[in-house]
Amino acid sequence: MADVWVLLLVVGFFAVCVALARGCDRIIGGDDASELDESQPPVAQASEREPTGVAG
Amino acid sequence: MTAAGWAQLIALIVLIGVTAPLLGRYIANVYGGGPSRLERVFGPVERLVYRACRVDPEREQRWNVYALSVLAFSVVGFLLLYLMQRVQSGLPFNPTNMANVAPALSLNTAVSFVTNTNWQSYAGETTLSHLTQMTGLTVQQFVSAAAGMAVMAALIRGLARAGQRTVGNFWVDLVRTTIRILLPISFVFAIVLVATGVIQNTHGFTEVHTVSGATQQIPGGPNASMESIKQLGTNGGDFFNVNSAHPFSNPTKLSDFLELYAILIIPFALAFTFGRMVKDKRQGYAVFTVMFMLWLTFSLSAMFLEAGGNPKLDTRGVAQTVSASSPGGNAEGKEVRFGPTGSGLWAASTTGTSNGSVNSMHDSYTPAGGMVPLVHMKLGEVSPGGVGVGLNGLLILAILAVFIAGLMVGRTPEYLGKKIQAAEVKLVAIYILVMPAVVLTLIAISTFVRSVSDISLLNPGAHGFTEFIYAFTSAGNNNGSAFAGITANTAWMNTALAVAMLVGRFFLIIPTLALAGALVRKRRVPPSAGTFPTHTPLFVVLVIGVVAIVAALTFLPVLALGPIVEQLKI
Repeated sequence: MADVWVLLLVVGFFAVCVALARGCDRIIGGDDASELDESQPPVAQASEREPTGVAG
Repeated sequence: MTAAGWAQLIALIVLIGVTAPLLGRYIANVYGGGPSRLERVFGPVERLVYRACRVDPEREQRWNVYALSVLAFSVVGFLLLYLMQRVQSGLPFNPTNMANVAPALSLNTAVSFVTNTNWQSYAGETTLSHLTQMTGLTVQQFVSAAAGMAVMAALIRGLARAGQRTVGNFWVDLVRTTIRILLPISFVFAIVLVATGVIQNTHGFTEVHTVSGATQQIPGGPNASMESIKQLGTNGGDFFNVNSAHPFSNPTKLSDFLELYAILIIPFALAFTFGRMVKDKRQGYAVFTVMFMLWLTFSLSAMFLEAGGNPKLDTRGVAQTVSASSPGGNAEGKEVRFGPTGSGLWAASTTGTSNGSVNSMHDSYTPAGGMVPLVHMKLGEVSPGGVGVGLNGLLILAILAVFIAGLMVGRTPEYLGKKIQAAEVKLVAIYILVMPAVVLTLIAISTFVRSVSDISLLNPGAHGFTEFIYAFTSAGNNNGSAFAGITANTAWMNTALAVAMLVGRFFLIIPTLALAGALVRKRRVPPSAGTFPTHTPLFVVLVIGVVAIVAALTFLPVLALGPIVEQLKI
């Protein structure tokens, strides 16, 4: 039972981390197209399906 | 202070001054991806790892994907290390027949090593199997350090690039840091440590008979391989309970000097890496100067205070100064082979970085001497800081410094040609407030917990409170050094310290990467007459002032209840 509590604590913490990341994303806002240089390397997008950015 | 103390300090400064720029240049080349003569050696290994993990090294990530990659990697690392401890009695390579580790202690230890803290609520030689130490803790000592350096690389790219969306690829940075920086240096350093007498074997306990007829259990184990990355990765977790005070981890004055150098070299070198990556070496020199001045101030303070000893003992006729009849001087809590100055220098260095290894017991220092490592951690470990995370902290404080300077003169602040605006300042504020918030909140809550007063605190009054402050400060800053004197292996302390370590690591990494993401998009503005130069002595003084003021405003009240009142009572 203690193992379950530990796992819940850690998983809950990392869920809060994801929420913090979203909050920080909101702080910095969207891309300003006038600032961006179009000649860039390929980008991995954040999405629910590919949360870790591993290609393939 | 003795001539030997001065000689050790000067030799260390000269060695770092000569080698840090060279290592910094090499690391900059690793993150820059430029041509390298070692490509033939490392390239095939890296490509093998990328193929096995299905990573496309050409594909870069935005800051939020980078952050999620760090989190995902850390969750997996935690689960594996937790599981390994919980079932270690059934796993091989357990010559000392260690039992499975209890859940709360497994939680604390797994979090501790995944967050690069290496706080040890356990005694290594009597709790963990060789397999857990080697493939659990030591592996995390490599990859947690590499993750911190990867985040640093992302932040520097945020400052160096302009008009872009991406800050690098976490998996590539992680692999390159591990394979090209940490593994080769640690391998060589482990062999050097073995030559100085640090043990490296697969033995369990060896029973020996002492001259008085008693029997004694002498521990063995693969220690040198752990000791090298423990210092180079500013991890600090030792194979043995008493850490680098143990003669099998740090047997001689030479090993002590080399390990001290290993603690400091990468964090200092990263200042030069920064200068090269932003293509302005003067910026690197300025950052290095801030780190160095803070480290030197705290080192000299600890060395002088511990060489002086406790004035109360002087009045009782106890000899505390080094003399022919008392070669150890103030040896309270210290190993005779290191002495008070060698111990003080280590204490300041291990807390200025996020290392946390100890070669003496800080609990036995004078109140003022013990306050030095405590305050050094409270600065946020930026002098020179842990590998990667120390430079991150200093760059964020530098951004705060240009913001304050901008307020003073009424201009929009800039750092390296990037305008510092509301979003960046909000992220800096989150970064700076998280650590004191978690440390002070957990200290406040814990003072009401019955097990803390009944079991954990062994000393009453101001000294006991100092031990308590130290534990949470160490965990919240991912340092891992222990003041000693408290029983940390309780359900509450293990859990509360684990929470402090998690928040102190990931709640700082996320705004750091967000800052990188905000900065990387900005175009560079050309310097004008109103631009505040960030490579001058004035800027160095300003950053040092900001570091000191932020720490003083935050922590002075709690320090007044602990070491300050204890010193005044002498």
